Amino acid sequence: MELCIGTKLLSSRQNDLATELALVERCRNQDAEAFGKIVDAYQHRVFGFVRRMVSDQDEAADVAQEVFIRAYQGMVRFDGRSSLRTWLFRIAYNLCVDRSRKIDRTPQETRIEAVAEDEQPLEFPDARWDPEMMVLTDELVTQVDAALESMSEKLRSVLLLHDKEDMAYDEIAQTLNLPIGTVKSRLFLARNHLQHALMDYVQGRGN
Amino acid sequence: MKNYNEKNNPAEEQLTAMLESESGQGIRSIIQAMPEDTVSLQWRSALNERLLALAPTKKKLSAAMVGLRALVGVALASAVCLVVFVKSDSTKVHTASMVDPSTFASALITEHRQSVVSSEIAGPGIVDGEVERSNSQDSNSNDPDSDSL
Repeated sequence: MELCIGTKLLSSRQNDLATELALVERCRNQDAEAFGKIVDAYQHRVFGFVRRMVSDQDEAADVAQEVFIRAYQGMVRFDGRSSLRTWLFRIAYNLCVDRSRKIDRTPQETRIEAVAEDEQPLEFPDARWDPEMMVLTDELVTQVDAALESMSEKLRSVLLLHDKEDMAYDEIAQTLNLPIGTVKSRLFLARNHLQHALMDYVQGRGN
Repeated sequence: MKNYNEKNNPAEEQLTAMLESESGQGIRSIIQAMPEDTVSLQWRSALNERLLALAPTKKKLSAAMVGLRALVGVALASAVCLVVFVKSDSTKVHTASMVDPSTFASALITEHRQSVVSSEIAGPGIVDGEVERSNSQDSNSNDPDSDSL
């Protein structure tokens, strides 16, 4: 069901902040209908982010619900300094990290600074590597999902927020509580990781 | 508070340039082309149920608030009644003390005159009632003892 306050209106950069703040204000007064509109606007994107951060589908659904429960409970504390989207994704990220800690799955993280210094700009002389020409088949989608899953949460979160959610560097920095430089480093490493994974796939398919 | 907008250094500028490069944007386009995830209606109704489950706590709180407000209202009403009651009491006392002095004086004078008249007629020890009674008896002359006077 399409609501008058749709995803695009709320989440785009040109969104009506006044409308969003009015909704938040109504939520502070325990207006369930206003909160329902916020859920309508963000549920798919939050779920998409969480699903790629949490590999298990059912668990992802639970975590995504928990995001909105926390948001509902904490709406009084939302001061509006960041956008609602930033706040929601911060909750989502924190819950994913908490869940990861609970199951004691230490991310396979390489030291970002060290790698970033050594890393050279990627060049792809292989003619088969042309992202624009790559048709996103189900098989490729599976490959991308697998590559994302093999990434550490730190890299994955930045990649998803920037490339999927179309967040700016400073917004990601706010969401993840990181300096902008770190955001860029992680994004570079994440793309690098994905490129390597897809190159392997492309080369394997070509042989 | 963290400074998210820290100044760009040359290394970061280079990094930004790499991120904006064609290959970087290619990866971005692949990620953006990934199919959108959608939540099911079942998921949404489960969320609604969880949100509703939070509601009783709020209702209890609001009921407690209503109770508290009613209590405060009763207390205020009692206070107002008390004030009105005390005020009306003091008004009564005030009214008594506010009798016109001239009226009071004239009443005293009248009383004194009656007393004098009574004592002149009957001598000391007689009470007012008796004088009045004797006066009325004089007019009727039916008392058997009146002959003896």
